[in-house]
This record gives sequence, structure tokens and C-alpha cells, in this order.
Amino acid sequence: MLTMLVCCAAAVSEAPAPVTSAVGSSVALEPYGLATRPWVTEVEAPPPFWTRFDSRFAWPVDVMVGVLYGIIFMICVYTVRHYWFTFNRLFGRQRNPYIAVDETDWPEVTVLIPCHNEEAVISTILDALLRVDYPASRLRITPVNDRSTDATREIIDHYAVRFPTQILPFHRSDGPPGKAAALKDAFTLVESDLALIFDADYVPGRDLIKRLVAPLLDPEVGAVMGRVVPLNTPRNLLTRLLDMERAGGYQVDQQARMNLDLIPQYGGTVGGVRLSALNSVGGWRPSSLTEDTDLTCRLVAGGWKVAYSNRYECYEEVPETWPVRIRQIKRWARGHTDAALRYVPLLLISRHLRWRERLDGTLLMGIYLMSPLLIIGWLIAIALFYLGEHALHGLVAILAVASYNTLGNFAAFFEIAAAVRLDGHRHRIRLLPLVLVGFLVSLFSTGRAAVSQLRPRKRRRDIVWHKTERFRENGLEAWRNGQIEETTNERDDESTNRGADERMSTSAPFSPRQSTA
Amino acid sequence: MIFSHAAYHNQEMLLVLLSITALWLLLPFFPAFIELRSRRDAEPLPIADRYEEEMQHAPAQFIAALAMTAGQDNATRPVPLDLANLPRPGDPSAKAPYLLEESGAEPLPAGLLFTKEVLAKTALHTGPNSAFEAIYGENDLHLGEGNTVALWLHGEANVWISAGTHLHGSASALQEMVVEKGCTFERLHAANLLFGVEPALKERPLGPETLIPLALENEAGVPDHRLLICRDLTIPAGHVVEGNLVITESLHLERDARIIGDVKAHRSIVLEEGARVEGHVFSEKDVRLGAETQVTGVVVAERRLTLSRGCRVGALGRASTACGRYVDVAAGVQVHGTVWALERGRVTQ
Repeated sequence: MLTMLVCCAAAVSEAPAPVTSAVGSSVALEPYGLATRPWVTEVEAPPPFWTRFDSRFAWPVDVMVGVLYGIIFMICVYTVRHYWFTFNRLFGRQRNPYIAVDETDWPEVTVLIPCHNEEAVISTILDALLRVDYPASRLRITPVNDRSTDATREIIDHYAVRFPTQILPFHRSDGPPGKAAALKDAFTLVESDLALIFDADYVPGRDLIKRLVAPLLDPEVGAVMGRVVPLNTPRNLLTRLLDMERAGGYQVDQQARMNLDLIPQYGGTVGGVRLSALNSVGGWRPSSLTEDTDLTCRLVAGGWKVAYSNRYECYEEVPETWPVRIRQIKRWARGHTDAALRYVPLLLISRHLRWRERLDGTLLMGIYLMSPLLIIGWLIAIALFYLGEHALHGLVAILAVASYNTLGNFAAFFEIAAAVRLDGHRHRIRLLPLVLVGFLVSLFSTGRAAVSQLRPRKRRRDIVWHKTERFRENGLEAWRNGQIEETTNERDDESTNRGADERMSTSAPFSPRQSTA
Repeated sequence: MIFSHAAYHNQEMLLVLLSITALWLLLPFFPAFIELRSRRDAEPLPIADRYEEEMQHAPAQFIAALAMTAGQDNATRPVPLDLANLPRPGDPSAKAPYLLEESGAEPLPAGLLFTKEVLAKTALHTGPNSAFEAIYGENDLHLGEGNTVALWLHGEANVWISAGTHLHGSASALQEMVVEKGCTFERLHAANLLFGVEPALKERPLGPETLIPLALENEAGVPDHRLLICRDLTIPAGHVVEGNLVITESLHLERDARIIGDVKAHRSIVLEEGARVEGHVFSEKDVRLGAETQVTGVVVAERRLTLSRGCRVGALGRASTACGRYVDVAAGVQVHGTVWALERGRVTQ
């Protein structure tokens, strides 16, 4: 892209593009037999503009060149990193150490579902969790309702009445807002050492609870993360692009970090934590915008591992409109940048991490900072060109072109392409050029968000619950219709659902837990 | 001068150059727009179906298919196996599963080839050197020597696998399964899984009062539920350690040593004769369980798992899993639950 900009600029400018020959003299361009402009003769390249004034003004250009070289170097580092991950996924040894654990004395686990106005989706996830293959006596489901103003509470309470021994709601009416704050309050009431967390729009499969619990049997594992797969992929261009992007991030990036014994990231949903690990690193931090990234850093710095596997899959809803997508990615960028500022020093000095884990953790935390750097690099390169400074030549030019061709830290095309192929898709790989659209939107959104997080703030902004807008249609309507149906069925016949019989207890009173915070 | 022929020619060529460049840049977008419009590959990644393939032991899809074809007269309904006209190598492929309702006292002849599933309503005893796509037994199953099962095997009662049999895919029994020497396998499951015909050695009871507690320094820096050891760790004979251990190097339990808790080592784990772990065992490298050792929880080796004669994994009523990339099991091993070799498993001599 940079090369193209240079060529186009040269083509449209009135002066011939200065080309410095081996002996240092300049000649006019004479491309492929086209007649040269007759008024052009041997013209020396114009001197850098500052030399017309004072040599003391040379230093800003030197600084710009140095910054540009530094940016190119960083982009090359990320390029190498992402190519390394992709080659590992394609050709390296894969690690799924816990995938074969299908029999054990399954421990007690609590599944938490943070909710805030989730009437469209909450019934679906509750139905799915009630169908999972896990000992019913060892599974507790706790919807964490944080001041919902829609029918979320009504729906949760209805399920709690039907399954009082399995669904124990937590209704929160006060305390600091936000998902992390809600989880922090809810965790005080969790009795098991293992807790899994799902966002309300997820649809777990029958085996997912066992799969997520298996790594937590390992005493070194503090958190576990599974793969999120978009369910609303066919919706529109954005959802199709996000499906590919998610594939790149999980199928290649996360799994490669697990394979290479680096730092897979705990993502806050389709995952779980060990409470003793969580408490040993200070618990949830409600002021964090991305509590998952925050927790990942503290866990690994404290000597815990995060386990990841592509096989622990769950459906999710991705944003269907660009404004929602931009809000989501800006939040991620701010949260990541905030975590980078707080925890990169901690990662670098942690004695529990090897050098390659420290490096990978640093690169992981700094990934959203590459967006503004990418833009700055472009601007500097163009500015240097018009200032007459030929900063890109030789090896540096090659590196610049190579690194910018992979679009910097995103390494969008290579990772995504490999992920799509690993998933067994064929035709959707043709959408790869359109990923450029998503990349450009993300680039400017995250760049702005990352820079805003770097600026010192005079006052702390209030934390609000940042949730992604739900697009599932008629979720509440479908639940209401189902409610009428099940009431009719229960009146007409005895319960024929063996699972429901096991879970229902007519003697246990319904007592939803209320927040006392 | 501006309107000279040369100037006009140059502008024309510039336009051509820009057009070609634009076309070149837009070229990759044409297939993208076609796919966007045709939506040939727009469905979500299918993830819901792996539960039955990978978690369950009974072949749920086969059972469901049988239930669907019951009472129907179509090409997929199981066809009764004609004992007088058994399929041999070279016979044309069958289109429906084979149904065995009466087997007789003698085993099936040797060298048979079944290219569809075999549904055995009665006890089944196969002859040597036969090959099966899959076997579902509602009664006892006894595979002769040198058999091969390509996809899966499941017995609702007991299963006996004779020497030299190759089991690909999953092999499971609801009650007991015996796997003789020389067999290779991928995934085995039974409430009581015995390897070899030698009886499992009795566990040597060693009460906790005869063991000497071993105090270890926690290098984690913060008190939590585990002990972090950043060196090779050897637990001397007759000593016991209580607590969950994370060892960044290797772990070695000497004779009759014991750990009460879960264990994870970045390098190898070796349990010598009579050692015992009352918890789960994880290693990023190899795990070798010596003779008469016992692990009550899961055993996971990311590389090689070796189970020596007389060792036991899990307990009756408390199933467990032993897995590794390569699994070598000696005769006399007893596992309650699953043994899963991700690359290759074999029962050694």
C-alpha cells in the first residue's frame, strides 16, 4: 500500500519522481518508451526543505525516521508472531491435553450467567444448561440479574420455580454497575471452587460443561477458555466478516498460544475460573473495562495457567450493525490498553513466567496499541516522502512493504485464511479481501480508543454495564408461548421428562438470593 | 504546449495505467461479491454434533438409526446374517447392517469381512483374522485373535478382546472388558477394564499411620491451595505429602510413597512400585506408573503413558480416565473407566 501511494504520488506530480542512480545523480523517469516531457532535462533532486532555512531543523526529520523505523520493527515483530502461530496450527504439534478426559469424579461447579436486560436470550441458555450432560447434583446455575428493567427477572424466576435445586438466581439491586462488579458480588455466594461463566446469548452444547471442567482438574490451571462460534453468521456482511475474524482469533491465535505453551487469554465467557486462584490474585476488579484481560494478566503473573482448546465450542451472537461493532471493539481496545499499562511491568518481572511467556504476554497486551502506531507510520512515511527524505530504501523498504502488506499486527489475511481452511470451509474464503473493510473500521476505532486510554483523565468516568446489543428475534415472545405450552402440558399429563423429574424437588422452597451489597 | 500531442498522449497513458491498477486491485473482490450474493458457504460452523461422537461411549447415532428403521421395510433395515453364507473378502459391499439373532455354540469361521455394522442380539464369538466395520452387541462379545474393528465396538454386557486384535475408534463395554496382549487400540471404556489374562495383583494396603509426612516449602509466594515446587522433586520411600502439587521439573515417587492431592509436573512423573496418588496426575511429558501403583483420579500424559503390571487407575464406582499420546499397557493393569491413546495404544507382552 505504501509503495502504491509513492507511485501514485509520483505519477500525478508535475515534477518527475526523483530516482537516485548508483552514482547519485538524478534522471527523469522514462517509463517503457513513453515520450519524455521535452521540457524536462537532467534535474537534481530538490534538497530537503529545511536546508533552505537552517540545519538546526534537521532533527525533527531524524526523529520521524527513527519513529518510522521503530514502527516498522514492531510491525515486523507482530508479523513474525502471527506467521509463527499460523504455521504452528498448520504444521506443528497440537496440544489438547484435557480433551480425552471423559470419565472422572466430576466436581461441583457453578455456572454464572451475568444478565442485564436479556429477555430475548436468557431462556435459551437456561434450557441449554438444563440439558447438559453433567451430574445434576454437582451443577448449580446462577443467573446474575443486575438491575434488568425488562422481563429478564420474570423469566429467571419462572425457571427457578420449576428447577429450584439447580437454578439459584442472584438478583442485584444495588452496588457498582458493570459485569465485573456483578460477578464480584455473585461470587461471594458461590460455594464450589469451580465456576463457569457464560454470557446470556450463548448456547452451550451437551458436553461443554464437562469439557470446560476437565482442565480445571489440573492444579496448575486457574482459568479455562473455550471457542466462541458465531451463530448469526449468515445475517449480513458484517456477521460474515466477524465469523472469519473470530475463526482467526480462536482457531489459530488462541490454539497456537496453547500449543506453544504461551499465554492463551481468558475471554470472560465460555470459560471458567478456579475460585481459589481468583482469590489468590485479588478477585474481580470492578473498575476494569475488560475484566477477562485483567484477570488473565494477574493469573499468569501469579503462576497460574490458562487452558484453551478449540474443541470447547459454544455459539454466540456477533454484532449485526456497524455502530454496535464499533462500540464493542472500542471497549476492547480501551480495556486492553488499560491492562497493558497496569500489567506489562508485572508480566516482565514475574518469576513464574519464562522469557517467551513474558514476551508473548507483552505483545498480547499491546496489540491494540498497534492501531495508532500503524496510522502514525503511514502518516510519517507520506510526510517524509513529501519532505524529500528517502527513508525507505534497501532492506528497510522490503521490511516496510512486507509488514504493511500483512496489515501490521492484525495479520488479517494469513491467520484468517488458515483458520477458515482449518474449519473445513471452502467458499467463504473468497470473502477474504472484504476483511479489509472490517480491518479499516477497526483500525480507526481501536486507534482512537487506545489513544484515549493513554491520555491521563482528570476524573474517573462512571462505569456502566457495557453489553452488546442482542439481535435474536422474538426471544421473549417465544418464551412466553413456551410458558403457555408447558403449563398446559403439565396440567394434562404426568411429567415424562426424566431429566426434569431428577431436577425438580417439590419439597425445596423457592428462595432467590438477593444482593445485600 | 499543454495541448500538444505528447502531453495528451501521456495523460491518456496515465489513465490507462490507473485503470489497469484499479482493475488489478479490484480483481480479488469479484469472487468476494459473488460469494456474498450467492451465500454458498454462509452457515455457522456445526458444533453441536460432536457430543455423541466424542463423549458418549455407546454409538448413539447407530442406535437412533436402528430405532428409526424398526418396523419399516426399507433398504437400511438390518438384514439377518445367514450363517451358511457368510461374507468373505471380495464379496460385494452390503447396504444394511448385519443382524445376528442366533449364533450357535461355535465361533464364526475365520477370515470374514463385514463391510457394514454387525448387530448381535445374542452372544457373539468371532473367528480369528476377521474384519468388521463396527459391532454392537446386546449380549457378550468375544473377538477372536487377529480381528480388526474399523470404527467402533460396543457391548451391553462383557467384551473379550483376544490377542493381536486391532481396535480402531472406540471400544466400550457396559460391564467388563478384557484386552489381551498384542492388541492395539485407541479408546477403551468399561466399568472394569482388564489388560491381559493375568489376574490383577491385589493392592497392598499401606495405612497412613505407617507413612512419614513430608513437609515441602511452598515457592508460590502467596498462600493458595497448591504447593509450587520449582525443581525436581523426589518423595522418598514411605513418605506422604498432603496437598496439591505443581512441579516445574520432574516428579519421582519412590517405593510406597504417597501423595494425597492432585499433581502436575512440567516434566516426567514416575511412580515406583507401590506408590499411590489419591488425586489427579498431569504431566506435560511422560508418566510411568510402576508395578502395583494406584492413581484414584485421572492420569494425563501429554506424551507417553506407561502402565506397568498391577497398576490401577480409578476405582469401582469411581470411574476415571488414563490418556496419553502413546499408551503402553502391560498385562495385569486394571482401569475403571477410559483408556485413551490419542495416537496409538498397545497392550505389551
